Amino acid sequence: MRERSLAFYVLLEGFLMATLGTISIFVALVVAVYTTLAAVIGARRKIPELVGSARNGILAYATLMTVAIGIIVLALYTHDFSIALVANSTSRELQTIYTITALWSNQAGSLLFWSWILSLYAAIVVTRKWERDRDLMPYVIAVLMAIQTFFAFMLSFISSPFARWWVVNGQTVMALFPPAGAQGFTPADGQGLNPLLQHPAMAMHPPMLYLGYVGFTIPFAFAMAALITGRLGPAWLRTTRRWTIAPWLFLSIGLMLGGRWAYDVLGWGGYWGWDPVENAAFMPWLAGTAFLHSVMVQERKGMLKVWNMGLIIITFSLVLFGTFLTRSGVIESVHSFTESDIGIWFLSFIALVTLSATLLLFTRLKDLKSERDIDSLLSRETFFLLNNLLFVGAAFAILWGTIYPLFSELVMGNKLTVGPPYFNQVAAPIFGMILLVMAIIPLIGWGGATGAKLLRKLALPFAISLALGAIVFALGVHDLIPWTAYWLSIFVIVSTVSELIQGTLARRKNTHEFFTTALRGLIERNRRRYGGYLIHIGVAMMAIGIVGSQVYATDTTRALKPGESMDIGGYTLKYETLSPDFPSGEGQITSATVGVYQNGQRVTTLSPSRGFYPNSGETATTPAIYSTPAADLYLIIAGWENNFATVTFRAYINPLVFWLWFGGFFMIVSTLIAAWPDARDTARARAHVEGLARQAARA
Amino acid sequence: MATASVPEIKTDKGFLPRQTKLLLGAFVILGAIGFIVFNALAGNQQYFMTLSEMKAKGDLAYRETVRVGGNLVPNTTKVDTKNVTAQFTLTDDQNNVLPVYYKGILPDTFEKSTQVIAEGKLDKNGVFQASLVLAKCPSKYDPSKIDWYSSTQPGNLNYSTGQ
Repeated sequence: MRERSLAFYVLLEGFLMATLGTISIFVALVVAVYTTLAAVIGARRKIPELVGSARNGILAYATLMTVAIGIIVLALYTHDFSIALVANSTSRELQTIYTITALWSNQAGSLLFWSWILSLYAAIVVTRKWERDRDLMPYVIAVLMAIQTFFAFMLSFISSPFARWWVVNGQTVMALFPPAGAQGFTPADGQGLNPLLQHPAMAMHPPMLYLGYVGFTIPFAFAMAALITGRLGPAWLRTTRRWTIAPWLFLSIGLMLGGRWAYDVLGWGGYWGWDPVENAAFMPWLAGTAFLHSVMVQERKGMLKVWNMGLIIITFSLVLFGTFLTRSGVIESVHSFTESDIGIWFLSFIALVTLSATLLLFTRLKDLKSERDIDSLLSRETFFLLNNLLFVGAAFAILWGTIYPLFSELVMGNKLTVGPPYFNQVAAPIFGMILLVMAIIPLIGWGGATGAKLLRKLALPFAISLALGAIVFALGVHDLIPWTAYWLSIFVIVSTVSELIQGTLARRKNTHEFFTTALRGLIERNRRRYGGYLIHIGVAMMAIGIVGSQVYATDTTRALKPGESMDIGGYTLKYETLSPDFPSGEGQITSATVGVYQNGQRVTTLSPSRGFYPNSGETATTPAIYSTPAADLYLIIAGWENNFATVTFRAYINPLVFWLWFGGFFMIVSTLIAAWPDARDTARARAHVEGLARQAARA
Repeated sequence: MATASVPEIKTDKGFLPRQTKLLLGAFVILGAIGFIVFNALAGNQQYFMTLSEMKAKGDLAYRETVRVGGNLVPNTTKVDTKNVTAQFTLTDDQNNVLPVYYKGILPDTFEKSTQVIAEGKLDKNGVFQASLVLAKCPSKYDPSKIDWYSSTQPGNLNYSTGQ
């Protein structure tokens, strides 16, 4: 009896919570509309109280979204299956961590997550640097909250996270409000989570991607505010640059984790398949990378102003387009875990945002004239321009391949697709060119250099990289394309390192420090520049890993009885034992023990496994990996026969793939070094704010 | 920034102004990227079609690699674990059937999937020799297709909200 009343309490409470959550979202929609209007009217009519009220609106929206997401997380945690989102994507057996991460495995949850992250970003924007950018702020608020209005609308009317299941005439329907004559319905247990998503990387990869994706809204809002107010001076650019590097970093981490997840979970030995959903995250990263480079040209030289605005608009449009691709299921993808009808809403929103931003840009064209012409073709500016063309070209080539099935069906009437061969064929030359630019750019100054001087600086790194290239050739890389890719990567590392060494030696002449101290001092004096160089080294390492694993991977498949062994890449794999059907979370795991021998010595033991998930009837293959800098040994169970009497193993040798992960890690740490606020920057910003305050006091 | 103070050198002595050269250069780069895209597209595009569309195209699938999407016929999947091959049959709503032979490991989601995409060519026996198999399982992840009500177990808590 007591138990029953307890259950009743829990239900009642769940119902109250869901109602509170629904109300939060509806109120948030009203707040978003009000804040947008208050900010615009306050700025136009010069009513500071109204602008202040809009600022509070941002904080109110963030609070409401936090309440809504808190309630959903609580519902997920307490298995409140009266909420359809909880019932559709979790179950009682699911491990606790994945009941929470299930939030972003479904559509309504991920829209809520999007809006919540943006609300937090917006709250940081209006509380941290209000004074510095006070002229821009009203319109920043207006743009952010106009975007939030869209999301709050979707969450209120199209895809509510608090929708539940109803029964009408023996049929179940999912809706927020009960259809006529419907009765509420709570399943006893949920459907469970896609087994592929039950992986630690899934706890980190989507939040990082979202932090990156959503973060690009902030530079967009600042750019639009600058266009609207006509305050196109250096202030908005500095703020925008800072607000671009953070999302760029998160997106980089998200992409790396995504690759690692694919490598660890999908069991085909790869980390990148040019799938539409992967491309969707990669394209804004490419456009954002282009912007981070060309923004330097504008800061130093006052050039490329229209181009930079265009890049911000393109980046944000690609972010929205990526969200649309991921969520709409309009293009066949192995990753699209949700298919839905929100596509048309998103498409209209993307069209509206892109069109109005572009129109706004056109009205300001005359204010965005370059302050000077390019001084010399052989200058850092030109190379930045080249880099930009290549990055944007890569983004469009990938976009074209991604939407080609849609395009061909609409225009030619036949659905044509392109697979990884298209993308590899397109990416190889473009990224090869990018590597070449990366190798030259540290050695070339702003303003210009003579060809002779550049050649002198290039001679030594070029010679060293050719010598190392000869070693690569001697090691067995005899094909032109992979050799060129290796050589270019080496060239980037050598020329960047030589620039670092030269800078350090120059510094040591004055300071007489130890080499390492001088190197640290050099980087600390100019984090942005030398952090950037370190990022280049990381990217070159990744390129080496990608070429090695894409071009030279091998695999072998063998069916083995216990005690039998197979050979691959100098290793002998001895299948020892099998432990079938071990229960774990939602699934039952069957794992094998395989001894790995090299030159007769046992080097490690690998335990590849296969999980069976009765909830969905699905299996999930988990590889076991023995990683060394030279190559990864990657082993999976491909299947078994006769009640586990023979087990079929597939082993891959993925050369140099270690350098992909290490290079990615190196790149991310280097980004932190480059982006860390340095003392001079902070002092300059403070001086600027104090100047503004003095101006205000005088007025 | 501690950039080396390179003296500004005017090297604009060619027959074209610098800006024009720059623009020309940009067009050359964009043209090259366009060519790369066009070239890669020409060599790598494949028809993506349903079974009946494949039938209507005649002998196309014998000549070139295509992608075909269909519904998996239940209980037709045969996996040879030892040789790592698989066979299954696809169908569509017009009762076309297509036997598929695949040398490789079926995706994890395959066994429960209803929609399958196979990439490959038809051989002379009318068997589709797949080089790639993708599986989708909308039944699981499209909640509107789940028959919740009939799957309820006894003892479920049904309650109405009083609305």
